[in-house]
Amino acid sequence: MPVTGGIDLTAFSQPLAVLSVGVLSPLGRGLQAQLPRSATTSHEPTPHEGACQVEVTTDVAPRGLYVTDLEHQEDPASARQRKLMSRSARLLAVALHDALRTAELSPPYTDYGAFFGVGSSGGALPDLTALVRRSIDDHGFSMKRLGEAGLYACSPLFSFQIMNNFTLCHSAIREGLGGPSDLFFSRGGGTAQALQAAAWSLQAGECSLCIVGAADTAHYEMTDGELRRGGVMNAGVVPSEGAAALTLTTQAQATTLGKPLALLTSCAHFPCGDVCTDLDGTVLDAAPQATIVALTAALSKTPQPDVLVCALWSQALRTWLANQQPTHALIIDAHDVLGEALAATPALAWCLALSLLDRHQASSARVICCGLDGAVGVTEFQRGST
Amino acid sequence: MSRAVITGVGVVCALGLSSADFFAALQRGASNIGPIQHLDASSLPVQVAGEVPLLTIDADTLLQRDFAFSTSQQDLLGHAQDCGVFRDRKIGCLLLAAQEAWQMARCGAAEQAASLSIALGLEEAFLEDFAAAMKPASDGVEIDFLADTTPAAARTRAKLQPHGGIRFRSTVDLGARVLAQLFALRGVHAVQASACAGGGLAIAHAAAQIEHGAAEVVMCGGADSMVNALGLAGMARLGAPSPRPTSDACRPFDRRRDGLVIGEGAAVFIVESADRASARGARPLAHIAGWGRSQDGYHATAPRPDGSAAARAMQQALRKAGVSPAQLGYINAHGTGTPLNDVAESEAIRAALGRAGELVPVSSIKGAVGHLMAAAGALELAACLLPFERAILPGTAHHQQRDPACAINVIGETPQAAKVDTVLSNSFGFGGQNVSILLRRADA
Repeated sequence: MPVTGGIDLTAFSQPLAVLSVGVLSPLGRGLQAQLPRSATTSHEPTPHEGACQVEVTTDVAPRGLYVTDLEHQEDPASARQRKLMSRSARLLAVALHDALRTAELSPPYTDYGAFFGVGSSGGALPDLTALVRRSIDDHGFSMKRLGEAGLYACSPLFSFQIMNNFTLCHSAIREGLGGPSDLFFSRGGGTAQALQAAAWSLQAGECSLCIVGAADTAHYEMTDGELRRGGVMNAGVVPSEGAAALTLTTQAQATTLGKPLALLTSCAHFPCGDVCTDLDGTVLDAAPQATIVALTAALSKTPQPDVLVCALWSQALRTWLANQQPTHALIIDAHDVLGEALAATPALAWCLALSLLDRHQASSARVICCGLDGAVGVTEFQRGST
Repeated sequence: MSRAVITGVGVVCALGLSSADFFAALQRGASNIGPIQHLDASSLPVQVAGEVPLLTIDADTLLQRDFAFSTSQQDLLGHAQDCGVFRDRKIGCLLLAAQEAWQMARCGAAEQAASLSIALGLEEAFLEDFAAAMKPASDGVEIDFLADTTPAAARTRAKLQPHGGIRFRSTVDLGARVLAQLFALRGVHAVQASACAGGGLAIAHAAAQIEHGAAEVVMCGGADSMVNALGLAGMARLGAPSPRPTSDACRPFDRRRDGLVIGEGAAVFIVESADRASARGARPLAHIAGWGRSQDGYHATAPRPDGSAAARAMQQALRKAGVSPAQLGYINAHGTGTPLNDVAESEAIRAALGRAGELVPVSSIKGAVGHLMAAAGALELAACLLPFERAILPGTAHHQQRDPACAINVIGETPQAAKVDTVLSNSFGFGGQNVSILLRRADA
């Protein structure tokens, strides 16, 4: 087992086929929208091209990057369904539907699996505020008042937005997905786990096709508050959001379903200790030594790919990377382009790599991610065989 | 491919604070649903729960138990307490259960390479913080999430920064982070976010890690508590709990059933490769021989009425384990006691097993402990060890009147003596995720 610096970088004995991608990010909708033009010719870490607006406020940190016009996106969910959905669920509904549509897969999807990284709860703040407001007496929050009035101030549908598994479940219901599924809470690492679990499921023959990816938003008010209180923004994070879904299958199955967009040749995920943040979310070290060791191993793995996509959460890690002067033909700083979308960041970074492969501007790509949970994920793709 | 075996289990639930308490209570057919004690729920529509019999669960609770924590572990628990970690009740439950499992499996420094695969439910929201952070806004009020609601005295004691301390809500992965630090675990951390299927999925993922050689030891399971203000309020608004505030509020598969009862607690397992367990002399309690997963893809709250998706999960678990329906000795059902779930699950069992589905003994422990949500699958898998450890099949508390619509062989209130070699545990999540796990007796 080839282990470098404690990292198992073993390639799959049988690469898996990526049939299609659905993605919705601040850069736009669809794979073609995912890469600023300058990145395709740059041999340096890509400067931010301004494909999306960074809104700077009087606060120290920028307000971040947004998926614009979500309300006006062609959306597979009905108006009634949308009322039940958190923003993350809505982002994923679009991405997952696009992934199925792009692959020209026809229902029923009874044996299609779904493995995703998801973020925090996302209940509508007006509902929660109304509940709390009517639960206050002269001394503050009151359980008695909650039972008498607060409880009835929120919609009974509130729970569907709160529960983070519904980030996927709304889409699973809408599309009729029936295969194995698993959801991992993610601040980066969980999304790599989802990909690993999907690969195992396919290799074990549990399903014929898996949809894998993530959806999240760093803009949900409570999440935003946590990040700001912990000093995460001051460590160089530009909060963002998005969703991506990849349809994944075995190469044998792919021959009956269409030409693969790319091959997934390996994915690895390893912890570097819980050293980035304290238990209360306060940033302790934005570039821990354990992470540096792991990133060094991930960078130096041979053979080297044509393109390297790095999604590193802190400015300190990104500066370290720039100082390494990696020699890959093309290097994309995913944070520079997409910001930090928490659970969604690794999946959005995969899409940057797949976009290049799809345009025949690279034949192999490595995506290295390190999120706030301190875990490092390494994923490799090759251009699909004909 | 390595076989995954369970070598340690720890339990905290309404029936006790250890696996021994839990097994003994199941063996005598006990139930512990009652009025909520640790907060005043008297004005809520939900007033009973399967509550862990401790008013507070914090660092002191852990330190007072006979766990022999090292100085650094004691310091960590103190720091966690100062940060406010134990405001989230499930985290104390998780740590108690994990410590029991770790000790039972006789884990030491070599096992600190373990991975973690845990289901922890949703964040606990601290509504008192929201109330304290309300401020006027143009359209009424809004909540200032940067407000510091930590009492000054607490901040001084904890030496917290002005913005330090856990407020508004615990994060989903908080329990896993404390757990990993407490046991100095160096492996990969997976935190399942799959509602009531989470506990079962966490254990299936652990077994997959062992089988694929991605880990040699995994600490896995689940912890959850919705016995808190927003948990109780949210469930009440959904109408899922039984409206009766009585000790028999949850009556799985009973003709008179009218809803679930909320429970709380944790169950944690040490799962490792059979070869490794054998080499270090750890006693395997059971072999995780198979699992199956599926999605209903049907409705947000209602299960697929024909149980076809849940049946696929069961069939997959049987197939993977190489067990025929007739060989299956017992099913621990999801059995929530809601009108829809129990009929759909009965249909699923019959669809999955055919004629054997009408004969295999089935029970649900939710009448005794309540619905532990993300931890339900883990606790119920712990209950599945009872047949192997004591040759007893758990009963179904408060199941007195058979429902013709549930045409399966439900064990009543009295536990049943039986020696079986294979058991199956079902967990079905709100939103439609299903998982079934098949255990085989370790010496079978």
